[in-house]
Amino acid sequence: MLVAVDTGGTFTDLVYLENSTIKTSKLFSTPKDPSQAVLNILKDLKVKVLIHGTTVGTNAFLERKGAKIAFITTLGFEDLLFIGRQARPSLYDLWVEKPKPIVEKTNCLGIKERVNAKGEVLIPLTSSEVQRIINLISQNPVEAVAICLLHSYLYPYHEKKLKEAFLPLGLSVSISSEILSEFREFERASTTAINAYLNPVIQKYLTVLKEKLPIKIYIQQSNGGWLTAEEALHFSVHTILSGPAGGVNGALIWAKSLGRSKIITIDMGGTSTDVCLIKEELPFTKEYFLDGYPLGIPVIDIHTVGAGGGSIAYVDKGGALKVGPESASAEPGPACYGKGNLPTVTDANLLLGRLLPEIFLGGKFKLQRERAERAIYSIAKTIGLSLEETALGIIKVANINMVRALRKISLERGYDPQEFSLFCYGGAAGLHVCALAKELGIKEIIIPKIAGSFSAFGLLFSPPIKDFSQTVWLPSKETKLINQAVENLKKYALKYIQKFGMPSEDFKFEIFLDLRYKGQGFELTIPFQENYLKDFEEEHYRQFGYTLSGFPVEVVNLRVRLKGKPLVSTWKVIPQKKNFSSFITKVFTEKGFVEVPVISWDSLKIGETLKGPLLVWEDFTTLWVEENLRVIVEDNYTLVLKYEGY
Amino acid sequence: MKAIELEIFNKLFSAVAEEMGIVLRRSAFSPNIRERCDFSCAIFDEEGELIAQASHIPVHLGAMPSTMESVKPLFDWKPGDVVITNDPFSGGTHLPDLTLIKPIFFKDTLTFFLVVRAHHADVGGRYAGSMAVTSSLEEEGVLIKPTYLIRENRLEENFLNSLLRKFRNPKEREGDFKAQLFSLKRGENRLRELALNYGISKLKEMASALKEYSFKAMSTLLRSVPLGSYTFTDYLDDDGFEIKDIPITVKITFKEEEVLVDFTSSASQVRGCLNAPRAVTYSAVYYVFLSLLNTLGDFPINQGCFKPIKIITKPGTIVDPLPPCAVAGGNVETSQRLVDVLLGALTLAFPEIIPSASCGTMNNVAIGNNLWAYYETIGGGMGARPGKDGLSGVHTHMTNTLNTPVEALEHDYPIRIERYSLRKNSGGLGKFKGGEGLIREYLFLEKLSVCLLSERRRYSPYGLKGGKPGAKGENWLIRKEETLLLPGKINLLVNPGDRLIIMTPGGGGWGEL
Repeated sequence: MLVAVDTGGTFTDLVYLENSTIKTSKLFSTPKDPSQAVLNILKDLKVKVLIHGTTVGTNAFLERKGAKIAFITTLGFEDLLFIGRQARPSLYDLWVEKPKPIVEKTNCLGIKERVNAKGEVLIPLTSSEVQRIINLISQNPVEAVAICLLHSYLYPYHEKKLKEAFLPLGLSVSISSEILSEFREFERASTTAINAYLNPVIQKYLTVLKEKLPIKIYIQQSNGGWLTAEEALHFSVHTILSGPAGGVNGALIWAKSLGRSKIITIDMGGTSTDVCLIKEELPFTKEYFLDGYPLGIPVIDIHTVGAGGGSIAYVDKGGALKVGPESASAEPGPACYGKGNLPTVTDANLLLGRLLPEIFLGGKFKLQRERAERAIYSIAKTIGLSLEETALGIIKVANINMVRALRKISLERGYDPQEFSLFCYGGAAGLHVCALAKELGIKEIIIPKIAGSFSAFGLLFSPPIKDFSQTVWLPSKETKLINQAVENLKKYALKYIQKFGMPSEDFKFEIFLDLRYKGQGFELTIPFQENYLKDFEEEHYRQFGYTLSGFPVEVVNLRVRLKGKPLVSTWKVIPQKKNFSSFITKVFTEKGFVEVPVISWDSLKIGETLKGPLLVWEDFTTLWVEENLRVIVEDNYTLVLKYEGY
Repeated sequence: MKAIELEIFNKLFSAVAEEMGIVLRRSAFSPNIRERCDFSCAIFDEEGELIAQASHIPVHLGAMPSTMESVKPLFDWKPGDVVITNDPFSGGTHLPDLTLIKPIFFKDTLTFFLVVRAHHADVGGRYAGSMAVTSSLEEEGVLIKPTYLIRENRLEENFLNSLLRKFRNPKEREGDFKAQLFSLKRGENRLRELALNYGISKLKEMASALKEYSFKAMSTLLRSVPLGSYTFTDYLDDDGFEIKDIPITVKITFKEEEVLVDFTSSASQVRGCLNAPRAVTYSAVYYVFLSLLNTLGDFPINQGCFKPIKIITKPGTIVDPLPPCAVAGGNVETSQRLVDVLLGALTLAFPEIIPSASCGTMNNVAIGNNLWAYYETIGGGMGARPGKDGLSGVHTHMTNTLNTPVEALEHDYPIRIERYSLRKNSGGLGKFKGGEGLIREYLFLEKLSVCLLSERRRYSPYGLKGGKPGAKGENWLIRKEETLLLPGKINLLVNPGDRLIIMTPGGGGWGEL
């Protein structure tokens, strides 16, 4: 049996298929030993294959609990990771700090060797120099080594030589030409160092998991596909956005099953909200930052904003209402959870009548309305509004932060959000999505039935993926050289996956070029096919509004992706049987309190149409449907909301 | 209701300015724009008052409003106009900063201005990169007095072509102009959408409310200081022609409702290019007060912040020079010293906040020949803070530009970087240590011209409360067997094999050990 388990900050989710029907379950995560919740949730199942989304690497990084590493680079550049791009993270902050280091300065070693920008060796790497570095490291032992030499994307042999010398010492070795064979030394070094920093962490975790769970384990990567646990031990940097990548992948699959392929996903959690714009294919970025450190590998282009259910509202010294980015997160949580006193977005939703204390989390968790009132009153008093008006204000301000994030991934990149459906999942998004869609002129909202465990659903349907890239710096007119370089990289890729025992006939190639007008500083990634120059110009025009005809175009990087098939491809949802009759509640809106029906998702029938305003709930999701919206129950009990008149 | 709308419209306006910046940066050619973020985008109201600004380096802060103030009355604005200028004596900073201004009309009413300013890699003149030791504006590049680039939607082609001919690499400059124009276009589209969603009168009402909100916040900050005056003097090393102290003095007086910042006792303008046009001086003052305001919260930057600040300068001084003097270094070097002087004066007013002096120079390096120009700046040590060490190897205060990756630099130009590291033991000692400076070593592979503009080679960045000063910067040239200590400011011709080593200053320490 195939299952998918996603470990999140609060919950660990399981999704699997039983006679093609989706089954889900949920447990609280066990942050001290995340494998505990994984084992518990799988207890009564006969599992053969597990696809796993994990936050082990990400958390270890954020808490700086990675391995003790050494960083080796070309002599003269030892401080590379400390200097970075020499900019400070914030302009007017006199107390500004650089990102916390991941390696001690004394463990950053310069090695005598040099390659130039053509890939020619200027100073060869001698065996005695290698020995000198080995001696230095033996004096101050480390668990893992990161190696990034200048121009190694053109000439990887010095890095390879060093790797071979280190392996007999039993160290985990990451070399930049294998992790990210692209120019820009800081970005490459950062990616390689993160990999070295996390490899031993992932190794420990997977060893424990494999011991207790002797089955096939696949680990989800930030690029939306999985790799085998054996390989993840060497490429831990690819696990950073494991869970969120699962969610976005699931959204695309679910949307396609409904005949939609242009969607904007929104996943709102307790402390933050993830948004992603998808047009037919999953989008990628190579400019992702992890707590101040650049990740140059392709990562699903997810934009995160510090606005969630736990975001704290306050009035600043100039008298404006602010929400977030500080969050009450899981501990102490929103005031209504009974531990904290700080007013949050969740408290505001409760006062507005959009969260119902009686049925929240299936009634298992009692929300305390009085605490929420007390918390919000502190703000209401300051700004001179009623409790409900204040709560509505908090929601509006939280929404504008999310709208900002949605604009960033759409309008700012030349996409009109009105051409997209807003696809929403995660616990809290359903309370906000109508207002967000309205603000951006989005005409359709889609919410899948299992919105509460959606990342795990996405994992279940993910394919295996392996990405390769190479900086080449070729003029676009050098067609022959470009083709040749592509063929070489393809050959390398095939050989690679055969080495890991994957059946190569199931894999397909996807090839991309990173292009720019010669002299620009950013590249656009364009699929490699006959008319790629035309596609480049169109994309440039779409994003920036102009083209430069006749100006030389440069192929900066090649990208080759090997993509296999997902292990399953179809599913259906069957509603749970529940004795629940709908009732009427009062919800506060711009027009004051209005009476609205509360309907159980499980009581809905496919094809049915409802009219807002109303609330639809299931145990882990509540959907607030504003007026002027119709709800249509589509396949698999997906709710599709449309503005009247569309 | 206002508390809620303030935050919403703050986000809406700033999103427009930020998006303009993204369009510009991602499609521009000049490394100064795309890699170093040396540009600013802003929205002004019909009065020419700043409503929102996306700026990545503070040195444009005061310059954008000054430009509007000078340029707005000069034209009979019509829909479809775009005006261009780089005139340091009408609100400009230095010649490479080219500013484009576009009026936005709703029906027939002038409602907003959009402004985009960007540092082009070259604007002609005697030296590649247009950032050299000079003694007149003419040598520094082409002066563009405020003039139409587009008049009622018609591009002034003859003007543009004759302008481009005077620049090195005109093709790339044309690309940069396009990027700037489309950034304006994008901003206009977004403003029109906002107007459609909220109505013009609401937008105008909220623009005023935001200015009032920031004004109140700045007033709150200023009222927290006891009334009185604080004076401080620090020195520039030299003007590139003659080794002679150049004092900059400020007297800051906190009054009931405003603060007076008086520079009248500063040195007269100089022969070299360290003269800081008044707009640069304003930027430094605004930067310092915005940094202090930031300790109270995150407030929108608009004209309201600047209203309670009165700046007094004397024409003909280094902080308010008269044309046609050279100004290239005023923007990058004198601006940093202005911050040191202002912070020094405020030490007693804000003893728990003010840091020791940071590196105090941008360590400008311009390299090139007749065909191309490359320009970069190098960070240094940040001054220690009350309670925290200073950061090492960063850009401080008036700039925050990124470095160019060594691998990109070596691929694009006949230069090799042999060392790029922190400069050990260069931070000033103290209870809290000043940050370390940087060392960057260049090996030249062709015959090239090199211009250095650097400071703090004679006067160290000061420490506070008994903290020691940071190490002074040093510039070295290694040519065959010779090793030469170079002055802070120099134009050089280098040969293949020559090495240039720039060691940047460390930050001052804070508190006695």
